[in-house]
Amino acid sequence: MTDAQRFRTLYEECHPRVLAYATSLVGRQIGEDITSETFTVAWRRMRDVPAQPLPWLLGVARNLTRELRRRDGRQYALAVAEAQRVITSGAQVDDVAAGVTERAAALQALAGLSDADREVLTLVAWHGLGPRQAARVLGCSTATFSVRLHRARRRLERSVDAIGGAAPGVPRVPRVSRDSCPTVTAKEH
Amino acid sequence: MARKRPDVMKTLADARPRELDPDHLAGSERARHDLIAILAGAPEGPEGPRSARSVRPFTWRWALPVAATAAVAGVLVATLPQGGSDTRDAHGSGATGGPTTGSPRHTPENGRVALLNVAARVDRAADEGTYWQTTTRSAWVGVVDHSGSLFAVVSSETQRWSFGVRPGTRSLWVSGIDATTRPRTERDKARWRAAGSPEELTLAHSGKGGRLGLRMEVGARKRPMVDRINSGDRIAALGPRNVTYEDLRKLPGDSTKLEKVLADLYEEDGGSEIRGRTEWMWRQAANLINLPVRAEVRAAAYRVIAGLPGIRSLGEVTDPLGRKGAGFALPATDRPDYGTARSELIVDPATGALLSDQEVLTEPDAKAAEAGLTAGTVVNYTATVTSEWTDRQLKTPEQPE
Repeated sequence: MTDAQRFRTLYEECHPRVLAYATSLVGRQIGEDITSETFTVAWRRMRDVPAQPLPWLLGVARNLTRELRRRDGRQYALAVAEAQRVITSGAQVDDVAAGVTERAAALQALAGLSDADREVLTLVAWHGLGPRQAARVLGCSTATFSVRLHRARRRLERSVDAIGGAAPGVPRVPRVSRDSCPTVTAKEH
Repeated sequence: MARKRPDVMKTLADARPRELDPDHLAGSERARHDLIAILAGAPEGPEGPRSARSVRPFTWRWALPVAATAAVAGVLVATLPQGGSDTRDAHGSGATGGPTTGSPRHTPENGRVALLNVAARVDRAADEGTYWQTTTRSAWVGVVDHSGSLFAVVSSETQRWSFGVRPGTRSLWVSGIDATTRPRTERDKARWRAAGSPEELTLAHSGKGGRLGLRMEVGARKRPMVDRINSGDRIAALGPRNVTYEDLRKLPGDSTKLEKVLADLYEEDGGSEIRGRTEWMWRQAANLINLPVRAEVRAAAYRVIAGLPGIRSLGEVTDPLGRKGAGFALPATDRPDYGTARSELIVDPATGALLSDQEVLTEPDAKAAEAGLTAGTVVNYTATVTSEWTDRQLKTPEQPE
């Protein structure tokens, strides 16, 4: 059956990228669940999966993480903290290759940016999307996305400059839940 | 103060943690397990165990793929006073650009009024049996890029649905009957042959986000698949939920209340997986019309559709099976596979039945145009062939036990 064939191909091609994206949002463990759920939705809605499926899939994954935030703010906060650990772990590689300082600084700077800026930047730099695709993930126009990307990039550059020659391997403590999950602050568990 | 430095985006890309590298994440045990779990009940491949005997292992979400929601026509009696003359070729040959511009009198108001008339005339006669069964014919147009040669193929199949509504009965879905994938027109056939008659095809709009392929199935080589689609007494999908027949019968016949039910489900469904709220409501309401719900609910579903922003009447049109009906459409939206297209429903003015649930191209993008698609091409349809209440389960060669 065509749908199942299409789905297998879709899964094979896109699963690692969806998982990478979900992991960057909520860490590996929850990311696996989000990815499962995403492809479950895709299977249920094969008719709605466009021929260029990745932005659609990432959009679904993104919605599902937002759903998690709404449903369980505490678990979401923990998941985001784990994602932050994953992101900043890249700065701790004791690699002597050229550019490692720059990379560490970029990661530190990234960790300090707002969620919105980080999302825009990583969709392009890490998840390999063009502005048009990334805009589809975020549900905004390509023009809007380009403006946001431009601004986020400027802030990233400024932040990298500010970090300047900070020693690699000593990332700043990331500001975990800053403006990311207002529901958490209201709850004490 | 800005010192010389490499492109920050390049630096950031290089700094991606290994744990976020897709190559590093590919092929995990979990991924394989999930694929099997998701596809359970729909095996592929030469030795895949037949799913016919297995119930889908999950109790929610995909008991009914949305792809098949246009399965069942409601039992409606309606006349449509707004009949126009907007006929066109709906077979997908795309010779005309008919629907791109409607005639001036088909205002959004007319669409609403016509649908409210449908709703007002829904047959209230009791209709019930043990199984609500329908047969649909559906097709889907794909734009293929084979080493730079663009052509269009059509995948089509017949499906049968049987919703068991009494305790202990099964609900079955038979798919892939007379399933074929073949070049859409003679011109496409010529291009396909010129490309070496490839069996494995790649869709043109795959992009770098992944590649989607399909296989040419010129004859009906595959056997139909039988799936059991109930999980316990849950027989149908309503948005993100699987529901029982009792749930369906309890749906409100008041359109305001029904809209509230659907709006809540939309929120629960995480929002925008389908292109926005309007398309989502349209899809779910059309779905409801096709399910074994009370006549009042069908009427209410039509009223919900009538209230959607931008709905308009197309007057009399021909459905993909050549039947005349009254057409309704949502405004066109971007469809990355094709360009822009709009969702349409075609209702039989004599019986009130939902004849076809389809998507029609309004403006092909460059690749779609190169493959011969034009404004007016039906790129996707599910047409209802029969629908009826019966007391006999479907007879299939591979009926699950």
